[in-house]
Formats: sequence, structure tokens, C-alpha cells
Amino acid sequence: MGGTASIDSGDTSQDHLYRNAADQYGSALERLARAYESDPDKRRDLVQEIHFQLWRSFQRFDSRCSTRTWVYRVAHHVAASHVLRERRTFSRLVNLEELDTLPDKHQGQSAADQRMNLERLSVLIQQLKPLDRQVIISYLEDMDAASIGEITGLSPANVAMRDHRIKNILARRFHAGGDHAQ
Amino acid sequence: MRNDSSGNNPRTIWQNQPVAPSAMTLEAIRRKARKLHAKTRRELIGTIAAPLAVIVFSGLGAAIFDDPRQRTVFMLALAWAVAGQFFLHRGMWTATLPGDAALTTGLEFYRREIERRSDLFRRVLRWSFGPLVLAIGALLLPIVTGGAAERGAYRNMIPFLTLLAVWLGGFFIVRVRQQRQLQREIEELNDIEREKKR
Repeated sequence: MGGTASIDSGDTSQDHLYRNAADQYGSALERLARAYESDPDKRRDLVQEIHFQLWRSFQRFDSRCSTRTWVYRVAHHVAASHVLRERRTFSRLVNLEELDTLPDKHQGQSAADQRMNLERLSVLIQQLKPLDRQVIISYLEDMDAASIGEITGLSPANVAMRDHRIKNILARRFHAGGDHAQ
Repeated sequence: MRNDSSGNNPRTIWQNQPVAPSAMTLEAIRRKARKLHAKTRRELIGTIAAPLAVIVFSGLGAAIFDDPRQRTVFMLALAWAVAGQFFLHRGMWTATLPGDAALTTGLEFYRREIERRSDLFRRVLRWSFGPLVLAIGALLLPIVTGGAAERGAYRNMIPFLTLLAVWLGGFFIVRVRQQRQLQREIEELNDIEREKKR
């Protein structure tokens, strides 16, 4: 298996890069895993898998892109592969356009509870296909359109269109969020 | 950002969610690597099981049955299943990402993964499902080509054969449906890429 052979050789540069990235983006990676896996045990495995693949990827890090873009790309790739392996079928996953037409199961319930709102948001994201999931996670992590484009490979126009849809969906579902002011 | 304090802003909700510290120690990474090796081995053994059964079944069929046509078909199924072992496992699902994965964008990676999955389905059909159907066909050959005596001997197998036919049909239908979904997904990604080039 490529990459694992050097584990015992202790490549300090790779270790150093990984430690810095884990310190800086550890929480964001946890949040990203929540967007891809609802089961807590599987989510823990997914987070470990992301960390392992991230450590492995730093063998090839050449500063061609920022560390943040690198970390998010690896994390999204691992998570998208996880979705493809686990779901086996796309029939239950939708794109942003279709999501907008789906009923909100939690509609009418009090939105005051932070935990319930997080649950609603997670359920909403977990219904999306991997590419739209990448966009919405990046949006929620406060990334600008250029960064989202760099991670996903979507054109600026496409990112803008999806961003607009996400804001509308979130505004409707959460009545206050959406962040239209931005 | 608006309404940060309301607790109703999706970005605030998302970013303020409780998370546990998750950085892995190098020792944990070594353990993970060993587990990954073991997982890859288990997956490989799992994928070998069905073709191995076809190989054993066809080998026994070729040795036991006297009809030269039947023996030939069994030998063909055997050769097909053996060749399938080579072609089926090229680029099979592995537990690791390609080394250059971080250099590709989400769109490229996702597309590549879907194409890989779609290609795997075609290979399973050609190199695993195909030999199995041929081996079963070899077993049933005397019903088609033989006389009344042979047909009578196979009458007891009707419940088993019915179950087998249902399983084969079900497997085929489910896989074809999955393949169509993958194809639709690829077309959707093609549209996004075309749009990007414009």
C-alpha cells in the first residue's frame, strides 16, 4: 500500500505539517465529518480516516495550493468516498434544487434549541449529493467564493449560483440565518 | 453576519457545535495503517470467494460429467473465472486515496470515483457474473440437449433452480439500476464541466 511504508521512517516534515494542520483545522474536520455521517461510531471512524489520509497526503504537499485548500480537499475526498461506499446508491441523495422542494420534517417545532437546530442543519446537509455538500459546508465555514471554487473545482458563476440557492434554503428553513447581508 | 446572537443563524449553529479534540498521535496513525492493511486483505479475500466457488464448481463439473460438450462449457467457465481474477482486481476499490488526490478538485475526484465505481460494475458483470452464469448453463445443458431421461433427472432440482433464477435476476436488475444512477450522476457532472468551460 503506497504511503504507509514510510510510517516507521518518521518523516518529520510530514509529521510537522500534519500536526499543524490538525491543530488548526481539527474542529473544522470534526464538523465536516458530521455533514457526511450521522452515525456517531461511523463518524468517529471517518474522522480517523480523514486524519490518517491527511497525514499520508502531506508526503506530497508542495505548496501548490494553500494548506487550507489541501486539508479540505483531502477531507472532502475521503468523506465523498465514504458516502459512495456506504450509500451504494444515489437514489436518496438530492441536489440543492431538489432539496429546496423537500418538506422540512422539523417545521413548526421551536427553533430556539441550539442542539435541535444543529440536528436540523445536519440532516439537511446529509441529504445532499457530495458536490453540493462541499459547497454548503464551505459556505457554513465562512469561505469566500474563490476558496470554494478552489476546493470544489466549480466555476465562479456556478459557485455563486449554488451559494445563492443555499442562502435561500437556509433562510427559509431557519427563518433568520441565510446571511443575505453578505 | 446577521443574527449571530439569536442562535438561529446557520453559520453560527454550525461553527459553534461541540466537537471533541481529534488529532491523531503518530502511534494512532501507525495502528490505523496496520488496520488498513488488514482491511484491504479482508476485502480482497471477500472478492475472491465467489469466483473461487465458480472455479471449484467448474473444475468438478469438468471432471465428473462425461458429456464432452458439457465438459467444454465447464472448462470455458473455469478459464473465464481464472482470467477474471486478473481483470477484476485491477483498480479495485481500495481503502486508501490515490497519492495525488489532494491535487485534484472535488469535482474531478468525485467524477473519477463515480467512473471507477461504474467501471467496477461492468467488470463484475463481465468477469464474475459471466463465468457464474456460464457454469450454471453448463450444469443445465443436458436439459436442453438431452432426452427425456436427462430431463427427468433434473426435475428434482426445480426448486433450487427457481431460487437461483430469482437471485440472478434480482442481482442483475439491482445492479443495472445502480449503473443507471451512476450514469445520470456522470451526465450531471458533465453538464457542470461543460458550463465551466463556456
